[in-house]
Amino acid sequence: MVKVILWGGLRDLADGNSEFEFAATTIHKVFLRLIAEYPGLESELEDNVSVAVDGQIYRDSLFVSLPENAEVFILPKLQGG
Amino acid sequence: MADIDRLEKVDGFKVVGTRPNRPDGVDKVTGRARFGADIHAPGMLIGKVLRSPHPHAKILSIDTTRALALSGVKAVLTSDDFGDVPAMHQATLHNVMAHNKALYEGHAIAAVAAVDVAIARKAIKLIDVEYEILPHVTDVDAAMAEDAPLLHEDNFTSGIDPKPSKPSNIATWSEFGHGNLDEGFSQADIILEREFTTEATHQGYIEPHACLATYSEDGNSEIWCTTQGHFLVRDTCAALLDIAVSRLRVTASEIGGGFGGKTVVYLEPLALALSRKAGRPVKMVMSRSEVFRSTGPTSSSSMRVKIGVRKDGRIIAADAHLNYQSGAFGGFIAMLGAMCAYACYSLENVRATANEVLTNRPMQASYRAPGAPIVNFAVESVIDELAVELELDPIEFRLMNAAKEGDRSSYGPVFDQIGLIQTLETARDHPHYQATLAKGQARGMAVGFWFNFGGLTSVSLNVNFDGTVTVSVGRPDIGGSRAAMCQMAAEELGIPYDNVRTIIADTSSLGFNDTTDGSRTTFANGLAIIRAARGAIRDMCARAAKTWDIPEEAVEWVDGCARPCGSNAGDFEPMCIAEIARKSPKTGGPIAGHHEVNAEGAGVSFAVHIADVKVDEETGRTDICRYTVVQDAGKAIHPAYVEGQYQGGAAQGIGWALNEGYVYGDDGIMQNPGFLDYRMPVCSDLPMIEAKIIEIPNKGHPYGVRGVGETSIVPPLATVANAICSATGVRMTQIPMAPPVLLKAIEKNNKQV
Repeated sequence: MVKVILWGGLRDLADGNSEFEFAATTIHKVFLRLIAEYPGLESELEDNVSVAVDGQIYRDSLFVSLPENAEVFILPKLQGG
Repeated sequence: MADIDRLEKVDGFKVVGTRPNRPDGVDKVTGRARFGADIHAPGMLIGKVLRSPHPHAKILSIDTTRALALSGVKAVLTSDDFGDVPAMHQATLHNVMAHNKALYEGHAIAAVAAVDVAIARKAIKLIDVEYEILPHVTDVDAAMAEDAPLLHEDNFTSGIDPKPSKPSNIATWSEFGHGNLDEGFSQADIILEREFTTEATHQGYIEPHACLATYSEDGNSEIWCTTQGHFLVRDTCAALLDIAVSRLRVTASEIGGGFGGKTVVYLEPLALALSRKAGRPVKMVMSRSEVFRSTGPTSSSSMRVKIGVRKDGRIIAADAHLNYQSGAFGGFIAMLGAMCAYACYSLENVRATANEVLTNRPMQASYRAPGAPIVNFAVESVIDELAVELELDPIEFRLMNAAKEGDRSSYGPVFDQIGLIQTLETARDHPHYQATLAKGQARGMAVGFWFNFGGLTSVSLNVNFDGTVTVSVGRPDIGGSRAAMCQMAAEELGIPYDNVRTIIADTSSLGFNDTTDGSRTTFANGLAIIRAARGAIRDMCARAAKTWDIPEEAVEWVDGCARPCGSNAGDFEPMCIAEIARKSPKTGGPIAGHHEVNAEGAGVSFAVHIADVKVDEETGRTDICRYTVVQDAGKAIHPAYVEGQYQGGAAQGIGWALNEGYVYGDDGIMQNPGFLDYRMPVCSDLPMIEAKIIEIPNKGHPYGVRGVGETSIVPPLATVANAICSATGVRMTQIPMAPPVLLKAIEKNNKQV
């Protein structure tokens, strides 16, 4: 099982929910599960998010392996200067 | 082959950590280096842009007849020359060339290409534009008012539920945080709530935007330009002009500064479109005034910060609301500001909210740690005031509340390994912080945070027949990164620094590379180069093994040579890189390594700045007498260039704090679009900025590298403000703290006292 947390801006696309627990072994599988339940999240997850796995931020890596009990925090896409 | 795939190296460096001369140094100091404007092509035309004199106006008609009739004019361009583009590129297209409305003074309305600059200038004056002038708004708070003129009738604030029923100038709302603020504030012994404003600043790169575009009759095209990301230029221009990416090759010139401002396109699509129409190469170079009026400054802002503490010094609740002005098109800078607002602190109850606000100003662009310095000024000012109230040393107060591994960050995830406490302790023990203040001087400090990024990276490493090495990377070198690339390749291969040359390859030579921004280049390029070098080493060891007729596993790579290892490997003289390379035509062909990766694991970073200032209370002038930057670099590949990044960020932040700022008249026109009136710091304004590098290895990089380019601009605004407060007793709540502004505040304070 992993714990998935959405940042506030995505909450409304998930019917007001922001925390989930389910089994997933990669970020990709987390996305698929979320989209299946909340189709409105699809375009955001496709283009506009970064993901922190136990605090380590990934901007575009779908196939990162998730440790058991990992915290998967979905953030806005980050950009620098 | 022994131990070749080891991922980490934390000590025993021979090249990394030294300070060799930068490979581009001689060309730059002799004037030989070719920047954006330093290129010419046979038959080249000169392009110029007609810009809106109005901050907000409907474009009723554009008549180009008289311009086209002028002898020497070869093409005229308007928005009609561009077709539909994907939604993600629409704002870019409408910024590079106004569609229907001019949204800020300086917005491009039309462009011409002519045989020389005089004719081009004359031609743009012959373009007849009929405007319907509209009410304008340039102030962030005024833009949010109910009756504010709307920039985009179809803008409904995103990020809030339910969706607003009326359009407004608020493009995006965002919110971060956790815990229960009401509960937190109810437990606080002291609560401070303050409001702050900051003015927009320009990135201030010395080299203006410039490019040369050539569109050939066969459909292939080329662009030479000054940019932080030529792959981004390629893909954006291809999308805007509807041409295949493979048909467009972009070469990055040397770059005279970018700081985030050259991460977008302005002239490049115009030059290419003009070239397509004229059938000749087109060169375009902005004037300084155009750079100020038409290219991305950072946001101006208004902010409210509220922090509650217990008497024991523990911060119990923190709230912030930010309004960032993002120019004529929505952006993301306010959101980043909200994410960074309280990232330095371990907080149970925290919230940061942000509005991205549209105004009749140029489209904001990233500026070094975009969004972070602005909010940091507000938060660190209140933190400083609280330390005074609690009678605590400002560093000790921050140490009591500093974020650490395992804490939930204010922007969401838990922190993994971070070095804030070590950075604060180093600053506390630094000779600067321990030094007795000189007479008339006062001290301030602040801490700052930034994310750092990695990203899409593709590099190539070729071993030449003489054993020297050429490395090709795809990110422009802004701060000396070629030196660091050579060092990492030399370190890994075990050869001298001077035997490696790194070039910035064009977009047709490598896979896609993300832009040089986000403090990513040394981290991401370096990671890829190390792996590319390991690939080449693996190949060279295999060739030595075949030559010696022993198993590959029985060969190791030491100090630039393959040598047998293990009891059954046999007794052979080491075979060095030059010998292996010389024989390579007969052992399998050229030797190369390459690596393509989406580099992740950049790791966040923190900095602590200390300033001693002297304030002339008769004029309001602030002198920076001593300034120190303490920052974690993970591993400093080239310490001098790391120090340079620290110093550069501090210098820009000091300028932002004390003098820089866009000045708009009531007419919505920028009043100071030149370096005479837009006052950036020069050498005589600053002391030698001391840089203390801390090295807490980043586990996401083989050598422990962490990005260093941006964090150093985050603390200076608050650092200087806190020092000024120590000096004068005046808590400044607006930036810039220019002499007239500070003088007024001092006089007001004196009257109250």
